[in-house]
Amino acid sequence: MIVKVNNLVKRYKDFIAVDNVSFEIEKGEIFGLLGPNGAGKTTTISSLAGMSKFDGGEIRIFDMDLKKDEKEIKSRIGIVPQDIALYNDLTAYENLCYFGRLYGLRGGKLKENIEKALDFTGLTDRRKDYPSKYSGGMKRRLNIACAIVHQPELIIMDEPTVGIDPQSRNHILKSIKKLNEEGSTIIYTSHYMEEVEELCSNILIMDRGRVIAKGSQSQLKSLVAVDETIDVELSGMNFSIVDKIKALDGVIDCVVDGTKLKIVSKKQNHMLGRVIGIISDCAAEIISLNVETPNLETVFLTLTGKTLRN
Amino acid sequence: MSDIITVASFTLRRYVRKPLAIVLFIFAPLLLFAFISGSTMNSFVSDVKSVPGGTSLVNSFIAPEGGLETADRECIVFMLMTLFYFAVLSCQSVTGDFKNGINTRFKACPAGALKNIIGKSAGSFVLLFGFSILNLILGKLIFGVNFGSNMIITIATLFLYCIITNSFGILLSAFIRNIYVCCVLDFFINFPMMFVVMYKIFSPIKITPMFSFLSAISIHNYAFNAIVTTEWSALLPLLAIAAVITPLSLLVGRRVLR
Repeated sequence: MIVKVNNLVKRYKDFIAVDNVSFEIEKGEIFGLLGPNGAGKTTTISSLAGMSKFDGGEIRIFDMDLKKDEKEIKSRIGIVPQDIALYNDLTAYENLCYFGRLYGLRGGKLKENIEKALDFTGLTDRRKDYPSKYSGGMKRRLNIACAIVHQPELIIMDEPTVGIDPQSRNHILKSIKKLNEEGSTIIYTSHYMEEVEELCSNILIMDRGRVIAKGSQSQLKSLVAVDETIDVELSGMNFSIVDKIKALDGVIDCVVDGTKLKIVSKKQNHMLGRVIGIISDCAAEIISLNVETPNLETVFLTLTGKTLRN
Repeated sequence: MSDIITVASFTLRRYVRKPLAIVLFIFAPLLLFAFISGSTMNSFVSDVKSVPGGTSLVNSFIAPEGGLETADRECIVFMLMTLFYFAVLSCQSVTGDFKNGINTRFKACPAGALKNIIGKSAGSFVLLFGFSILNLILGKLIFGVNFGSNMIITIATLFLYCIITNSFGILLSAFIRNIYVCCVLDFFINFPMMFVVMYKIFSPIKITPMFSFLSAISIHNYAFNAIVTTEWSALLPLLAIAAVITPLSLLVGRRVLR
């Protein structure tokens, strides 16, 4: 167990930002932290990284108490802040040199780590440039490089792909996987559900400062009763189709909207084949068809009643 | 200690690259020196012996302290004024970190907030003191400005004055985290402090209670007196202010950065 959080509480005067949050993170995993704005993700992360004091509970990292061994723990953590935190009047190399030195690196080890961080983020060729000359994606990559220059065992990434192009996002996602393969444990927060689905083995969902669900992706998806949603557009729509579909075993709802049908069914009923059969029996023609299996967005929507980007 | 040196050296490196800093703190004083030394009539006092009513101006108009002429004294005041604007750069070292999010990264570093603020303060101070010495040398060599008969006292005065200015900037930024507001406030504080010294240089009228009060709180006035009088005891007020404001700025700065 690399991180163990017990009943974490953080208050801002009367407002409780984090309310009795508990979770554990195993060594070598990518742990996802999901929640809408104001859910308490960043506050939780700030407490974990020792950036803000917490009011209650206990945080143990690397089997040490954060309150007692803060300095030692901090030296083994790297943080990628939500905002790009770079000095625009220092070159990429100098930024890395600066933060590397603040983590105690000197001489040959410092140079070696800077080279690795630059290489890792694909910025070796632009090492002498100032971040102000970088694109948004490159700044994000340098932001990550500054966090990993001291080769931390635990990396905390707070929405590292906000506001960048798809190419840079892919580069960053690949980098995160590579970091994880090299042995780093990663805590990853994002608004982008697909990123979390792609990267994270275990996920914690927060809302209004509380944990509303945690577990592996399959465990979270099993929390949702709805398994499949079929959206189908037809020509030759008639109500006998709707009646027949509604009569099928496992169908929860079937809603007509003009020429479109929205069928919601329970899990593992293999509904698609049966729906297509009914439609062809009724001599209607399918114009378009879309099947949605539950994803984390569905889980989130079901548990919180709102979408993640709300 | 190594963390402090790291922060200080990179603070220094960042500011040296700011063209505005070079213009403001090196060229602006030199421009003022050039203007003053080229325009002030030092013979004015000897030409005007009295005004109607028989009041002698020689001793009240321009007091001949320390053998400094009007132009020299004006140069000293303007140098102090431009150096005091450096407080803005000290402000920037703190407020900039809030603006660009660097402070978040600092908080996650094992180096504490106190080391961070000491490093920033030290870096800013070294640059400010460097600027003041450069002003001194260039002013003397190029324009022949007399910065006092005891150069050690002058340098010691500038040393203390730079400590105070820098600490004032840190303190200002700790309370007001907006660099633009800090700039305006720095100007509003700098101007009356400078003006009271200028008033003493030029005005034949006895100092009024308001100006007497301003003199008492003017750091410029204490620095000016120390340079002009060349007495070691004149450094004591500056030493006392520095002894109070420096630890205060570091403690408040640490609290803000933490």
